Amino acid sequence: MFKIQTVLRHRPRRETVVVAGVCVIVALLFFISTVAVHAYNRKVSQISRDWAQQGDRDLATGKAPAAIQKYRNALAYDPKSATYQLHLAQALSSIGDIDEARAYLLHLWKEAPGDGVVNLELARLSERTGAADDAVGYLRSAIYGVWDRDPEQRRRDVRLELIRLLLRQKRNNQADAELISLLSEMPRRADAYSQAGDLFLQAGDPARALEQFHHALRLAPAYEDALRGAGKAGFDLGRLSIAQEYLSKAEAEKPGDAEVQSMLAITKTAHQMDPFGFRLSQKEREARVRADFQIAMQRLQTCIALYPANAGSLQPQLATGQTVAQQIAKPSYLRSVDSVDSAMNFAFDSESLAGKNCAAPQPADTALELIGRMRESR
Amino acid sequence: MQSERQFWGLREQPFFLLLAILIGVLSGLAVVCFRLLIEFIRLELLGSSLHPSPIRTLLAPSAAGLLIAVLVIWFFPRVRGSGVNQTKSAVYIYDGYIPFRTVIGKFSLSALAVGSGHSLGPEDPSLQVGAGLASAIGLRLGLSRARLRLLAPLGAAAGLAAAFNAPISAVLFVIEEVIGNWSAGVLGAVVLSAVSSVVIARWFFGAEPLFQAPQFQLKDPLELSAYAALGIVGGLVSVLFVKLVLAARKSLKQFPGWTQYLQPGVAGLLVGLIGLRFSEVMGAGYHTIDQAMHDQYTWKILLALALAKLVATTISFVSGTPGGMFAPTLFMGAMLGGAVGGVEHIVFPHLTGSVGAFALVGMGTMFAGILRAPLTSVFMMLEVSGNYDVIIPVIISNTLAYVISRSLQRVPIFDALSRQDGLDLPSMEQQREEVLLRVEDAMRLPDLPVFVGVQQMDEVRSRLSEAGADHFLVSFSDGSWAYGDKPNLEAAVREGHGADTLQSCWPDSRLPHLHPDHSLEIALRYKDCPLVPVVHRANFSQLVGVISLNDVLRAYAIQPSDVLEHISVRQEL
Repeated sequence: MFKIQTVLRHRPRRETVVVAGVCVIVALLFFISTVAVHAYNRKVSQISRDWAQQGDRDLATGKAPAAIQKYRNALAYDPKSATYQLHLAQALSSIGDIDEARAYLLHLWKEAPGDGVVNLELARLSERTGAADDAVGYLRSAIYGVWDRDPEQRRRDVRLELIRLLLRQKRNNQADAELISLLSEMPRRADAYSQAGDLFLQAGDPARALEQFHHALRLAPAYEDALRGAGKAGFDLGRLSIAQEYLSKAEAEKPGDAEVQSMLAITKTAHQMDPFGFRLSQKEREARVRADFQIAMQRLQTCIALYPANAGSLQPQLATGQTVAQQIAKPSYLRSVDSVDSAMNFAFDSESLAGKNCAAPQPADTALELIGRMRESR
Repeated sequence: MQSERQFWGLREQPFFLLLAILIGVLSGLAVVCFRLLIEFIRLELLGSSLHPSPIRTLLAPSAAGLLIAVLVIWFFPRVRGSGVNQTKSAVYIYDGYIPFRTVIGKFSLSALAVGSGHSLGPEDPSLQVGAGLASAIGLRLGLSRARLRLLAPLGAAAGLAAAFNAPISAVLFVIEEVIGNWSAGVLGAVVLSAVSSVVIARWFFGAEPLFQAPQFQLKDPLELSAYAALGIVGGLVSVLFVKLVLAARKSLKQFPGWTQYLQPGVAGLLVGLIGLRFSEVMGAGYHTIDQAMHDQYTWKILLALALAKLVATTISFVSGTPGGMFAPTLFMGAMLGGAVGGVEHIVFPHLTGSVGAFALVGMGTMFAGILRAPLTSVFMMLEVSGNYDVIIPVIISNTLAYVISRSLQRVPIFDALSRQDGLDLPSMEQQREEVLLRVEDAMRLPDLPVFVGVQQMDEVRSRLSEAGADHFLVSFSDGSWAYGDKPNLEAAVREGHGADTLQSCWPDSRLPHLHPDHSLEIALRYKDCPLVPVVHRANFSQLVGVISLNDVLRAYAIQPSDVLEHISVRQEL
């Protein structure tokens, strides 16, 4: 009886019971919420991964519209995923939805302005929309940006992409400078040297191109691309013997290449037309000068006939040619070295002038231009 | 007089503050569970794709609607609607009482409705769930009726704050729309409760705002005119939406009672049909709002989504399906804002504000226009976006939308809905707009002599006789005032106090005083005083006027004789 009275006397107050009850409910709800939130997060994470994988498969099989929808679903559950956003942007870009792709990429770029992939994708989009300067800027950022995997190779690839863009934009000097930077990063492989040589050729720097082809051929003497490139570099430099040597080897390695055959033929023609070769008799030299002069005069006349609009700039040269023609017709005129030079300089100038004003030259004209370049290089 | 109840040795007020924190925590947890339940239901019923299959799109909301109708009619009749009016009616009609069954019903059926794709939101139900939990705790604690009435708003603020991750907006909304006053005791408890619930919500969902707002920078002040245009359009569309909801609801109420079993199901089917073309309108639509703010839609799609949501929300809401209006309002605002911004960009290509920025401002615009809580609408945009730069366009646009909405639709939507239900809940907007009568509107110039305390009684008596007056006012040097009459004065003189000053022999009784800017309601407290002096606030000895009960009644346009008659009748009773 005493105990019961004591218990009753110490019965907890109403608010204590209620507050304690609420605290128990809070603790229980906290536990339930924690479990539920973890379960939800796991589920959502799995859903987003599944959608993204489906998107990757669709994109890989060329189903870009389906991939876009899958990536959007993935992003709905993981809106901050840079990977999904990037893939979505790539998919959008592939179907030509440039604006939305750019919106996603710019969003990513704001988050991580130094990200290599994002800068590369932005550069590609910018070039597609004609913003070449932006594209160059993004590519430069990509070169110095952060790459998750194989950064050296990716940076090299991006620099090559930049060089190709600059070449397409006819910014040969900038491309040449980037190529020189590329040399320090290049692996010592024949294909890499050959690739660099090709790009130097496109940038109008045949001397450095020839150097790269030589490197490539030292590592792989029968490398057909390098042989052809070296021949072309020699051709562009006007170094007939080098051009002939490498082009012949290239023809032997891979017969039937029309470009190689054409250059080889021109080189041989140039050899036959060259009045400055050693061991030529005086008679032969004079005959070659007269033949070359005739080829140049013929080109001028054809050019004026076919392109009367450009006649204004060609007529004075033709008039000068007629004077020179009278002089070289004299038997003793070409005995002097200066007279040979003068006649050949006229021929080179005429070919150059015609090249600027008229259509593609004949092989003989190209050979004459080649002799001109060879003369300059000497 | 009954003594104030003690809780653990604490008086009711401090205990009330502690209770506010507990309610906040509990409401926060309830909202976390509520949001998760909605998500799980959505994943199960509609699937994980943003564009559910046609079968799910049609079947999920209509089947859920039919189930909801049965459960509402049989078990949870008070869970219809958004939850704001239900909370207000609990405060003003049922002394803060919300049945716990209603909490259960609101929690589960709103989750089912929103999760199955009905075009409704989870915020207003969160508000009611929070209020219901608070009410349940208060009842079991046996709090006083006054405290009990305040508990529901505490829970409401907590529920709303957790749902929006926006404590300031929740506090403002509850004060603007539910309580209607800013007393320090209430404010402190509401803030504590809201903050506690937000802390809990952030614990589970992170501290980031509800939406990832776009960068915004106003480069040219002239661009504010573009946002003003958005305010005008938003105001007009708000009115259209409110009128549509009210008209449709009124029509549906006239249908036979058995149709209530079908209405949510039919509404679900119609929403599903809209969802076949615009699946974005199904559910709360936060993801779509986020997309709109990041320029992911063209203006034509944004406009179509705004109109589709307007129709879908009207259908869902008027069918009696439990669910909120906040999220649909924000959705419509974002889409409409984006559409207006898109058009303005075409017309004025030099505009620097992105379409996303217009979407953000549009949310606040529609909130101000439809829900008519102007202060909340501004702060909500700041909180849900975490972007302060947008405040000036938001204020301009919201104000215009609010003014247009008020002028074209006199009764706010929540008040109109409660009147359709036969309830006359106090309108907070009307309270705010009411013209407050002040003392200066009723006072008159003094028509009796005024003396100062240092004057001798003889002098006062002779001056009083000259003036022919029976009463007078006395101003003392300490700024207090007294009211005197001629018989008492003469009696004092007869007793030999003629040479004394008024101050030296005046009894302690003093008149209360008022200032011209005081509310007339304060003047009514002194109805038993024959006359109350109205004095200058900086100089209490400077009399500005006097006021009596008759003056007050005249200012209220009430005939004093009617009041006197009423008082005598009451006395007889």
